[in-house]
Amino acid sequence: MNLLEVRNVSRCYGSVRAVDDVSFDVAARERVALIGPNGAGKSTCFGIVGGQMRPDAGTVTLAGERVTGMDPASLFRRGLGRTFQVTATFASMTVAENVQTALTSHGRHSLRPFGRATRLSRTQAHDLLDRVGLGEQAERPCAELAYGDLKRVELAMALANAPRLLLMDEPTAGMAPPDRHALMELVSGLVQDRALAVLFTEHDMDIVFGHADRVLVLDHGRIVAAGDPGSVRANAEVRRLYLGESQP
Amino acid sequence: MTVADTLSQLVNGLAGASTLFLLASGLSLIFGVTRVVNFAHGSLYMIGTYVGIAVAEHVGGATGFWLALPVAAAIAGALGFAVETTVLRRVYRAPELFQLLATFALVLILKDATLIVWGPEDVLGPRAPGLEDAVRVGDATLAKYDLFLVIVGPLVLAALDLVFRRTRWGLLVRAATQDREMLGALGVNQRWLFTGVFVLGSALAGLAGALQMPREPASLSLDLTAITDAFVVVVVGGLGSLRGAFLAAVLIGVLKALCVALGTVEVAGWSFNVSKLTLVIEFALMAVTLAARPWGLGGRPFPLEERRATVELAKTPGIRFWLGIVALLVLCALAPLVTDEYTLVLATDVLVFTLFATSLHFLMGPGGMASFGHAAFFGIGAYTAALAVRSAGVPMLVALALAPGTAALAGLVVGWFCVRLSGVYLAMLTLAFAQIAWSVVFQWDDVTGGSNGLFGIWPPGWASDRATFYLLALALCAAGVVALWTVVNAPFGFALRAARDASTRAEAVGIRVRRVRWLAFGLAAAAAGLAGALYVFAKGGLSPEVMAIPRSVDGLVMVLLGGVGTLVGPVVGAALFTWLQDFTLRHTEYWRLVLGAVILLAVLAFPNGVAGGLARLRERLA
Amino acid sequence: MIELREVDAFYGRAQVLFAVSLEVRRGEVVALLGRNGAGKSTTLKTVMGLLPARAGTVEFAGSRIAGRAPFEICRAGLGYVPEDRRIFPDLTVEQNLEVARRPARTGLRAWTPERAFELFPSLGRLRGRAAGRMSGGEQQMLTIARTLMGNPLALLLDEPSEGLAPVIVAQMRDVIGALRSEGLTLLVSEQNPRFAAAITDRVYILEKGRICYADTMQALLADPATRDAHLAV
Repeated sequence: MNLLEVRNVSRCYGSVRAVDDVSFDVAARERVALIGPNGAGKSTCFGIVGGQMRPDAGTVTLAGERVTGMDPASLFRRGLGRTFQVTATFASMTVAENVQTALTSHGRHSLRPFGRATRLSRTQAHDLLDRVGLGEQAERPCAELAYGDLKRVELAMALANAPRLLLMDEPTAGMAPPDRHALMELVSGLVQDRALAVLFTEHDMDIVFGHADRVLVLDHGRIVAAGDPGSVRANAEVRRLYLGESQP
Repeated sequence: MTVADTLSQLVNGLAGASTLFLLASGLSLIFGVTRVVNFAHGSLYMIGTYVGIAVAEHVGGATGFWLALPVAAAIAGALGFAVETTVLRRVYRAPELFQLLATFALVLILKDATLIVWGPEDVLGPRAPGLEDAVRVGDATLAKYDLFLVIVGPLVLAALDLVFRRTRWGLLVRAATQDREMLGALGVNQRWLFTGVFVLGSALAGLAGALQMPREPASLSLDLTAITDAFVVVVVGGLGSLRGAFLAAVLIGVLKALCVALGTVEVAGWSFNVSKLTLVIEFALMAVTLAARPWGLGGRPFPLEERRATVELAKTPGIRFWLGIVALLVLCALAPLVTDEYTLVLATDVLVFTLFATSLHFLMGPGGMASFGHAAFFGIGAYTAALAVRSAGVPMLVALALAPGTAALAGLVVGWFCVRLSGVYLAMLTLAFAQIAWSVVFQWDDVTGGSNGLFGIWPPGWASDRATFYLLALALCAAGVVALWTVVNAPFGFALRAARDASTRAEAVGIRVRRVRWLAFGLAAAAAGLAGALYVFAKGGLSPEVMAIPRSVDGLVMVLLGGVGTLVGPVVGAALFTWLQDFTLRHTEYWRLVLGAVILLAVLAFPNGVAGGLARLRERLA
Repeated sequence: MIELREVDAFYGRAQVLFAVSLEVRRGEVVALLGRNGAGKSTTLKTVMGLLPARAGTVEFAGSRIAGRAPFEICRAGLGYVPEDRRIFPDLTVEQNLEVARRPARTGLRAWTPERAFELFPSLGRLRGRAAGRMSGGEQQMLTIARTLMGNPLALLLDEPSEGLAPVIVAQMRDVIGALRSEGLTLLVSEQNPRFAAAITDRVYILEKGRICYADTMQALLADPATRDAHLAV
């Protein structure tokens, strides 16, 4: 059984079909990249799987459970972690507090009106930060961090609920090439250790072809190609629509 | 009720709708381009009425009346010019709430300026020469001036529409409502564009005020009633949409006319005076609109920029902070030993408003939800306590315990709607609920004593001594404030801040943003309710004033004066504001002028509030 | 033409540019490379007056422009094309162009909507369309066309290839080539070195708000170590 099953999902904005009858699966321990031109429907697809948007039609199944249209908080409880294209962290908190807030939520203590929040889940937060290579920065205000480091904070937060599926929207944008590959190596490590599945979008084709087990190409809301990196790269349609002829 | 009555009420309602549209269109334009919610817009309307009457009387006759209209518009426009170039220009880049504070200060200053020039008495306006009488249509009598106004509204709409669709200036203004900064980078001097829009909007307000002069006497309370009416129209119509504003104004005019025309109706043997609904109908309409179609009738969701000041790291206070608080409380507890009775009364007020301001800050700061109607919860607490003592005869302490409960309930009801919105929309919805609560209290004579309020509600014998009551207030207010601070630093407070900082991210880590915000509403309301109950016993009674708009505004000023970014901000703000108000009230009739000037100076000098400013200063010195 | 000397800039209290100095000569195309957050956009915004330079000088065509308002800098002949395609979404394509229209400069052929449509034929077909209802690539073209309507002498292009499909990126490359042959001076911020290599003469690399490399494009291409250390290839 696949961990994530997306079946015949559609979503319109006015007269525009942003996502048009899309179906795909992601299995446990699989890294799947979703690529395509701007406006192809990647963000909408992500929004639907992540619970930020409701599909007009179709179903989403996570680990055998129908989760179509479920809100993000409920999906978090069911083992979905996600990072965003535009990094969104809690700017009034330190790096550690960001992760602690996510951990506290996972422990279902978010509504507790007493006790100091900064004392909860400290060690776990530091462990996660060490894991993503931010152990040194734990006490810094999040607002001060460089963009690439914020992406790591997001990743640490996305790992707070020990997720089964990780949704990553352009996880390496804004990082230097060595850091990009290091981050994706890290993600691959998690995939092995924790039997995670990863669905990600990316504009950097080196990352896509270097770190995805399978690639889905979206154009005008439809999946126009799918398969292993090699076959997608060789696909004439994909070259015409997206990669361009000059792409090596 | 006859068809004829309905028709004349309808014309009356539509006439009112025309001036309302003029007023609201100015506000909407100014907001659209500058993104400033200009509270002083109502003041310009009020001044328009006063100036109009003065010119009409001075010049006299038909010339006087018809000259009064352009002169009032010109003077309001000139005032708008002065306000924009001296004050608003300096705060365009400041956070939204900070701009509001500046415009509140202008309201205070302009009110007292009007008081100085025209005195406290209402001034009756002249009737429109040539349009004094009425025409008969069938059985209906229709006032000619009303008919004239009914035409003016659509004419102004058409004129504005023409300007915005057909002129280059109009095109630039429309571009500015979409992206001001980019417009500057394309070579357009947005300064003068802003000033131009501000002058146009102000002139429309002045014209609206002058047009109302045969219908309504000039009075000092026009400013706040006008601005709230205008807010309602702008929100119902959709921010920045002129056609929407027109539609909303007409809708409100017609609804009000219908309420009056229906008069007293009997339903199942129970008679109800529908005309009393005129006070709430527009707010009810706004509440329904915001709940169903938050962006208003006129258009699409409006791009509200995120323009918060750089989010500061909020540190959880350590042991030193709490030691300081304990020391402060000990000092406060010793105060009765050294101070006179007058000071104790004032100090009790400070305590009550500290709790009130802290509860509002809880929503605005960590919650990121600016409530413009927070006095409603204060008032509901106050009325609960007063009625519990008066009607049910319960002891004071029980009344003090009941008040936060009912206030919390009200907070949860209001909050249920409010947490679905954000920013200006949320603020406006809280304003609507507060206005509805106020008018219920105001009109329900049998229970609440109506406009007279309830009096003779003093603490029982054991607490009747000023010092004892002061200590009781100190204990309860300190407990309330400390409780709120504890929540801020607890997981709940972090969840609330997370929701404010990045709500999508908060949802994605399992925080139910709406639920957290909703509970915060209940909690803040409970604390405000306790403050209200204490207020009743401190004053020996209450009137609907305790929950009127100015009280909500006072709360906002306290919070903003102290600074939203710090925990102790509201404490500093409440103390400063209450003391300042008392001090100026004792020394001058024109306390609003002084207060307004002080606030304005504080705003221009301390963009982060007084407490924030002091912290910044300390940082720089260290 | 454009010259920055020792420019510092801040967001709030955080310093984002540290003594940035760079120079673009008349008719040159210069790239500003570096990763996200390195300060590329900030540098362009500072030149345009959208962010104040707290220290240092900015000169354009021989006169100091630091401290002047963006509209004055635009009128002096500097055009700015922002990275996030800040078109006016409710206005039509033609109205977007009209907003930015400025009188022609003496001796230069004035930009008109028709001329802009020659450069971007697809915009001509959409002239009555609300700009917010166009695709990302079309919006990017409109942003450039709109800035051209101000008849600039030099252009600041902020990440023109960002987020565009490789096919559209190729079109952008041609447009920049065309503008260059018109005699426009260009300062282009870019993350994609492949794109930059195709269009530029000289390169500056920014890292953490500092200029850390300045040379010709060829020299950079011949120096894989620098390329890999600083750029997202």
